[in-house]
Amino acid sequence: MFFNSLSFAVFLPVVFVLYWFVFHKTKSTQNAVLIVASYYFYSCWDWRFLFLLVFSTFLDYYTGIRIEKAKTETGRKFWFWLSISVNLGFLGIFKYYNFFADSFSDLLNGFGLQTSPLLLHVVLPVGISFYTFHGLSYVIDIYLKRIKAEYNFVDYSLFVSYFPLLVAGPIERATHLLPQVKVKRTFDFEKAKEGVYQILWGLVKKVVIADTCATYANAIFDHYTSMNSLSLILGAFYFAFQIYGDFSGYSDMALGMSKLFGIDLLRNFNYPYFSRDIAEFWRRWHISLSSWFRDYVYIPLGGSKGSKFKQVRNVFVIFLLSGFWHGANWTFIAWGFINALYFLPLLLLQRNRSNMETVSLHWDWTSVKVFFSILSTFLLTCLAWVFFRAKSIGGAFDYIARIFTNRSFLPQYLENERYSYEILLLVLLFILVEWNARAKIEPISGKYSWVKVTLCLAALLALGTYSDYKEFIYFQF
Amino acid sequence: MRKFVIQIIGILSISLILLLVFDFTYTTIYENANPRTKFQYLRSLKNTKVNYVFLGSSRVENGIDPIIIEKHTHKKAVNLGYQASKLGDIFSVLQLLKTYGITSDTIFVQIDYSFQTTGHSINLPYEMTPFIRDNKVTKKYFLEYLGKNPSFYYFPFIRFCENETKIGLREIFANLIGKKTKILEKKGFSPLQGVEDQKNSHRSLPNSTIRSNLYYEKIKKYGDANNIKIVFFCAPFCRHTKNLDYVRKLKTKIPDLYDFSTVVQQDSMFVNCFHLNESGATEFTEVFAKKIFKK
Repeated sequence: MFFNSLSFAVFLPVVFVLYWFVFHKTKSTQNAVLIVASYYFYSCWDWRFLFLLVFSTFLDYYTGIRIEKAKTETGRKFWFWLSISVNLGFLGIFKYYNFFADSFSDLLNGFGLQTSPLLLHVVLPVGISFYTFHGLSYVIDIYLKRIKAEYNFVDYSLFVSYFPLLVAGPIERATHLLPQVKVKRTFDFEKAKEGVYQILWGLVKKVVIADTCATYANAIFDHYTSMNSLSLILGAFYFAFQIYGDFSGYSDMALGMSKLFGIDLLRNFNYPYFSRDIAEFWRRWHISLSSWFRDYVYIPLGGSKGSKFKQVRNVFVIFLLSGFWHGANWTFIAWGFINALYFLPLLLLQRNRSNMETVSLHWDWTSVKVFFSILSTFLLTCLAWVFFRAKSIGGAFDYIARIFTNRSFLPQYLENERYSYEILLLVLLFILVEWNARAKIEPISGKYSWVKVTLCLAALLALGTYSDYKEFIYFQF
Repeated sequence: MRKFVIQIIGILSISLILLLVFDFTYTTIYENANPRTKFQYLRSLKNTKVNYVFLGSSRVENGIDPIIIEKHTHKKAVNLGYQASKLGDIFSVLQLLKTYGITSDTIFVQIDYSFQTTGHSINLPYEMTPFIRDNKVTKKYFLEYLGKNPSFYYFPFIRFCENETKIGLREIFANLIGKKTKILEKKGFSPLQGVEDQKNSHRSLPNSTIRSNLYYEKIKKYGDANNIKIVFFCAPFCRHTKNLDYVRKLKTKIPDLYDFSTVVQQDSMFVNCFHLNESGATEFTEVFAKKIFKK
């Protein structure tokens, strides 16, 4: 059941009505409605993995209490490491086992030892990377005595399984979400209105921008050997907007629908393509994951303190982990590595904390510099996306090499029966809208909001891609 | 909450209005534009007489040149073949000819392995989609023959969303500015170019025929009931086609079938074993015209 599906368009209003009109009396009944709805939502993907979700929830709930109640340090450590090992163990088996088995077999084959890996034929449970990270952050926070353990199982389950964030984030923190779950929510019109706008804008990003760009990006990436320089450049450009529209659109919908239930989720995107350097980009892209790695890996490793060697090591560790989190493929690791390389000069020059304020442009020379900073950061990002999208690292290098060697810049006819440049105007319009809204959460609220709602609905109807349905990219992670 | 409910009703109302406005606008543009698709071309023939109409699959669309037929007969001819058409599609087009008031002397229906295939044409459904509410035949085609959900017919604009790559905004724009296609240039004939290796072709006709075909029977009955002369024929296959004997078996089911399956022999006349190229189409149409019209 995707957020942009017809079944979800029925599911959401039903849950809304039950939540606010039938079971609205107490916090417990509100939470009960949400937890039942969440489990139903998850079981629509594959009911068998519901057991895994419930087990993972129970494990972290129970170990959290045991860590808090442990009388000795050894006991605390035991329950802590038990939780970490089982959580990562599940993630390892379902997501990474085949990758490691395959890579190890390739390595042995490289040494002349003929082996065939023993692979598991299992489907990756949807959302496992997200809810595992929820649970991990909770247990780590208890272990580090940042928070108290949660004793109400329903409240804790809702923190892990809350349907807006269950399958593709944002990765929530107990410190942020649990306090909201612990109190009865009252209806707030302004918040709900903002939520509706955010859902609508998320839909536009997904259906109009991401899915349309996807047909072009796929037509180019899947046949890149027959594409000329112009098409290859546009392919990377379209994929950049496909993945942004797809993931940030999903996040907008998740945040928006959560607001309908009176719960705020962590912001996941903050106009990342207007970043002036790669450090700023990572403060604005998939914020909940970046901050998770920052708080639970980077800072414990020493962060930007200590010797230069340690600082560089820490940067590579979090970027490689971040890449690997996305999927069991060398292309994601390469993508993380490239981003670490981009980040390194900023770290060494101690400029990774500049550009903290919202970008603005004026008619002066400083703005010209800012404009080119944004442009160069975006181009570097696009280059890295090629690795993210390519089927192999060799394929990514080949793709990039062809951009420079082909040298033909004529419009090409693509597999989707379109010319490679045809969607440019739509993307440029989208950039303009986002630029004007960069100080806000979404571009609809404010003056003339009814006009903007009408334009969004019109765009959805007239410009949306419906015949070639595409799943949300981040569901596979 | 009251304010919120009002807001949601407002958004739903805007959506509904937009759906109706878009539906009306798109349909009107398609109805009034110069024909860009074969179905628009068919509609443009409303209340006219076309002496010879050719119906069938791509083997008609790519194989019969109406201009040659007109040269031979000095009468009006048109090719209404649709890619991958099955007999059910052909039956619908046949009914539409009457519904649109298009009269004819003879309707030629190409029939071959389509006698035992099910499914539907590739192009006809989306070309017909803007005109779904034209008449009962179009409605029946979508709801009964294609088995579409009733919302496809009744819900405004949804049919354009479902086929947005084919009849969406881009095509609307092309219709608006009157961008031409090649459909009208050759009266529905769409010649293919090139020659593929046919010796290694794995194209094969079925081993045997099925007992009967519902739509074949319907076409025959419809012709008889409406006093329409319908002539069945089989277009050429290349000589490397496996089970060519199938056409002989088919003739036992359709005794008055004109068999042209082997009239074109040279490999150079075929793009592939089932489809003639432009030279092949010219040769076949000549043979067809001589045999049918100069008896």
